[in-house]
Amino acid sequence: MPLKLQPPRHQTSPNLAQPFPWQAYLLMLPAVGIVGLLFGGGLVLALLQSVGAIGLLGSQISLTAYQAALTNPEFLRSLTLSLYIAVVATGLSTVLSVGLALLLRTAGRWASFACQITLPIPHLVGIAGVLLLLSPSGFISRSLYALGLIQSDQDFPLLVNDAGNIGVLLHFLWKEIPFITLILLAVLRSINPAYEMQAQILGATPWQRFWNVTLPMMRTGILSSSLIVFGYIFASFEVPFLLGSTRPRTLPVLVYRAFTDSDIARRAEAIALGIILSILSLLIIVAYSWLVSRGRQNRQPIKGA
Amino acid sequence: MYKTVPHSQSLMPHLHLQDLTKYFPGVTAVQSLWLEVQAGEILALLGPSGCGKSTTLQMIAGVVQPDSGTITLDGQILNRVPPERRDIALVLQRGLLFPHLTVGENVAFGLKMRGVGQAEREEKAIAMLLQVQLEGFAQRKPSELSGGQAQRVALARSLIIHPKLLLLDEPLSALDANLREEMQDLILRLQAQTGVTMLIVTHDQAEAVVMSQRIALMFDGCLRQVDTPEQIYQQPCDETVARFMGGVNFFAAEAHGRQWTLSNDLTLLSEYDHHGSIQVTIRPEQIQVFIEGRSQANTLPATVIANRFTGTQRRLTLAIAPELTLQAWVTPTQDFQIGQSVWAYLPPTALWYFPHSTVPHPVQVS
Repeated sequence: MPLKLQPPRHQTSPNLAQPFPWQAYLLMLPAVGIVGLLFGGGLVLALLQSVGAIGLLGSQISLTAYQAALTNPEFLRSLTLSLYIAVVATGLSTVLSVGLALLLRTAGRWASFACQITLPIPHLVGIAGVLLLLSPSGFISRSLYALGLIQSDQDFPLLVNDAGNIGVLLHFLWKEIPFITLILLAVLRSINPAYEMQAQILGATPWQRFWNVTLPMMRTGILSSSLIVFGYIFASFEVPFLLGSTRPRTLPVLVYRAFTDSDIARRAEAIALGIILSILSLLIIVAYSWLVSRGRQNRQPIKGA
Repeated sequence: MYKTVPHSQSLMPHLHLQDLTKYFPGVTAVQSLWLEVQAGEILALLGPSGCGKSTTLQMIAGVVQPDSGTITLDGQILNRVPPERRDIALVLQRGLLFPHLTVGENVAFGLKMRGVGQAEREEKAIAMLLQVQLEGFAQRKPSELSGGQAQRVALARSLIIHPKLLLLDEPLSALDANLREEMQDLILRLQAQTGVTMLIVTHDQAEAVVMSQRIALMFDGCLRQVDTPEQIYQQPCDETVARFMGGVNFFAAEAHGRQWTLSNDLTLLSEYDHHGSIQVTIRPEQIQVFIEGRSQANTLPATVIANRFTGTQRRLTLAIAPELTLQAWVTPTQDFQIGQSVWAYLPPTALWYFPHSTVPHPVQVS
């Protein structure tokens, strides 16, 4: 059928200028209360423990735990490793997902369905899968051995618990590519193809159309999905714990090790590390919000224009 | 008005569509379409919704591939040329401005794609915005524009690349009546300034008449008549065309040369010579209505059976004979009572006919 060249109908947004009646806030109390109590309470407790206000070894307020956490020779290396894994896994998943979403753009509903298949699978199952497939005695290694392509499992490259954290990255790619693709497919399908057609008629080559029209229109979707993924990977514990390098360790693993250390005095340091991890995550969210608000500002109509 | 005469009257048409056909599953969207457009000409592709006019436009733009036929622009066959290299611009119903770019960036988009430097792009975009009377709008976002302003930006964005052909797909249908006239004037003025060849797709016959030098009328994927607006109005090729162009008076007659006898033995004189059964038509605004009888041919006694005031016209329904009523649209200053006896004068020059035939009328191209 001919292309539908009409632009999308602008959705009417609710009138946000009208203030909520104060009673409306009461309705939010149960939800806000539970979240506030569990999350906020936990955070306050952690904060109090990290500064020594409460603790197993009596109360004496000091920043010793933070000092210990920050001067821990492993801290910087762990932070770097956590950022490396989060940046590389998020970056690769995002780039590959953009490509996959563009490829699947015209595919039917099956594409969205296929992207949802990995969503309910727990990370632990994925980790088990990576171990079964990629470990030196895993399926791939044994298959290559059976085919005579390698002489022993020593010839198979180390892909789990390796220094490059290949196994960790592969696991995150397996889990996050379908997730980001699912979001980007929805974004792409909401973009009127007539924009790209218009760009093409105005002289844009396929690459120029992607770079100047499609990608900017996907921007918000890419930013929000990649932030969710980055935040998750940065704070993820079980994947680097089970598949990651033994040294250096990621920040969450470092927190866990310190918390479960036989020296009970290190618990405050573990909590201080946890607080630092939370602050870093918060900073990332702020940076993201700033990026998104910049994008939104560009779409805000000027009053009286 | 700024309608210009095509400035190149060479024999070779600027745009030549030869035997263009497009099928969609279960539908023949465009069937064996032949059309020639001269350089600098404004041609309106007119027809009801779903008649294939937008598909034709999309085939010319290159976003839809014809199943058969050839598209030639400026001597070059375009069938295998991708849309980005056709030197054709297209303006759509609501402008379809890129929402993430400013107005200035939108206008300069085509230049950017052609590798023009930023300073030159900006300079040209500002000059182009001035031409469409949007000076000082370069930094705004499309969401801050009204429908008419967005359409002007779309026009500027298309004209800045100096296309060989400007296609407009229902460019004014989303605008209200006052704005539409303003835009019509602007489009025609810009066309006169640039001399660009224009093909306008519209379903609005009034818009086609005002905007174009020739109208190509399409029904069901086929071209029915290609002619000047005056000819299509005065001499439609068949009843469908006549009705689409606002014709309301149709009655059967038997032609004996220039004398046409109606069913009630009334005789009309015509300028056209024909023999046999015919379908007669006359435009309602060309019937003249008098209170006093005149000793003039083609003056028929009538009774006013309806009188509707439309602001600019008074639409009378006249009973001529038991099975013959005609509509006459007269000036609003002429008033008549229901039941009043009047005289209707049907000028011989205004009478037109279609021979009774089951064979579709061939396409008339002038």
